[in-house]
Amino acid sequence: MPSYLPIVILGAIALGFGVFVLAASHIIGRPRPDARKLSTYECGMPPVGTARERFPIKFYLVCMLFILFDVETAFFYPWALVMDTLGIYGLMAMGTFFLVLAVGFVYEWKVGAMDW
Amino acid sequence: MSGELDLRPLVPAIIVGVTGLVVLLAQAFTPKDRRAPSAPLSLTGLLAALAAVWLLASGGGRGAVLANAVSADAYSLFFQALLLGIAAVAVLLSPSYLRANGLDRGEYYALLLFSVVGMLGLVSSLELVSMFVALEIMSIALYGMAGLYRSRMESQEAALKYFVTGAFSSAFFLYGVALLYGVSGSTSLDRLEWAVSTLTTDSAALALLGAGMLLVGFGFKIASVPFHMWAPDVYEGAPTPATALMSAGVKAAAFGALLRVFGSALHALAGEWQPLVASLAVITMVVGNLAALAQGNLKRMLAFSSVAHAGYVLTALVASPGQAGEAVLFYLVVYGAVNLGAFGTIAALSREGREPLSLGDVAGMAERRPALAAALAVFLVSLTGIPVTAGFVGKFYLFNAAVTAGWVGLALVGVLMSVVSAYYYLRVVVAMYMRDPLGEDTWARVSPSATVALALSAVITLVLGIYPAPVLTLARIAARSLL
Repeated sequence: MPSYLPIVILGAIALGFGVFVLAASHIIGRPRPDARKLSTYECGMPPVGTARERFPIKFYLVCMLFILFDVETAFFYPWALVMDTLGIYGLMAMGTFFLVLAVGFVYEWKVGAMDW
Repeated sequence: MSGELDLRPLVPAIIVGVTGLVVLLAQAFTPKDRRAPSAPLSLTGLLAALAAVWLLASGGGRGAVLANAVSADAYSLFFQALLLGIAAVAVLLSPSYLRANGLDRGEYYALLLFSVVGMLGLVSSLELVSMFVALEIMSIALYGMAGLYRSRMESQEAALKYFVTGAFSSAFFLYGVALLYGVSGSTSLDRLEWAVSTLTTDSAALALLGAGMLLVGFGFKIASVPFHMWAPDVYEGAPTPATALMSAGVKAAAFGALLRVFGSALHALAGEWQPLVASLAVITMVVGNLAALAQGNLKRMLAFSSVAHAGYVLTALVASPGQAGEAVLFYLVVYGAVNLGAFGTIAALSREGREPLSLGDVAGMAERRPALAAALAVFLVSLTGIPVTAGFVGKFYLFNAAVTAGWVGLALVGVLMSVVSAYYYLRVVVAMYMRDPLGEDTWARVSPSATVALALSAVITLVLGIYPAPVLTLARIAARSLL
């Protein structure tokens, strides 16, 4: 069981931080609510209403790009942990992976996927 | 680990993949008012990969590498050469069609090349997870290609339908892989072959369930009935050269993997899956041909014909792996050339967003365009399977394999259905040669690159019909590495 102690501590800190932030903003904050602030998401599309309306496609483009690069980091973390044992082979494999993603990144930049 | 790293079997796929990236970058860095050299780049990459296949083959191929996941045995190399050839012809057909329909962007070629990477991987995988990854690389690029014609409703529909049914079939495939892993404790085909030859009663049920799931997954990709519903809509909606690639390339790649898994790894279970495959073949031939009879749209007619042909190929699977392999490999070459030609003729005539899709559109074509009409007639006659064309030789070997294995009834259904198919194929030939043209000839002049592609397909169709021996020998050698 002692090996699980760090996880319990991590959970306690996470919970404590959340409680602390909420409590602090409740005590020292001066709420000035308006309709926009009170909506479920403060940005993006209205969460309630008809789904059959026009929406800016760029919103989804950014989402997709985010997922792409998020997955990329998800692959880099485990590699970073075992980088030493994998040696030059691992470096080459990750380099290839990174290169392919970089080409995709350059492409989307050049075709203007990032221009809002 | 680095000392044993041998990437040689992957070189053709790597060349095609890098070319895809180069095409993508070339498109991105080309000013808006200029045209990126996408088609020449793609063609160069495909031919370079073909040269790499040639070098590998003349070096005697390579054994399994990367933890026994891929190999460049004769079987892989045969398919890789075929797939690269199909892709090269599809690229030749593309520029004029894309320009005529306002789709001329490098992304089309990049997607085409990425899907070819998947196809190459699919036929050279010796391991089920690699096979699945290759299947997905191929399919995801094709979903994009199907939906590339953004201004047409049908294309949107095609992309969505292809994506949904494709994802569905992937789930079946993956579930099958998981069950077979449960049987053998490995995803490698070698281990699987060993495991299914030493089954207990309990694990036999698991293995059969897994094999059935895999068959469903492959059934979607080769468009066999009852997993064919997507094919007509997707073939109709996708840009026509992309349809040509789908019908010729995807079918060849999927059959390549199917035969490796069922003919080789799961051969010990042949007594169990053969009746299943035979019934799939029968309903595929019957439904495909009868549905094709009712089609007024040429692209949909060819789509159902492509379904029917999946049934013909399935009939050979009841034979021994060597004989089935020889017949299937030869037929896929024939089928690739013929289908590229048939869809290619439609694509080559496309002008200002229109293409000849009805019998009226091709009526009297023999008068106005004798060469083109003759080529299309050759393709349609070959699809019917009439002698002197490759289609006859191909079907002969398929049905012969079934008869040798004792499935005479199965071959008989195939022959009868071929007779039925004569009606809808030859109806087009009759319209071209015996009816008067309707109105002006407003179709495009066939571009030089499309002419090369169509001439190549027609010559291959005729040569293989008269002198099939060299390709048959190659197919026999390739099929032998399955055993």
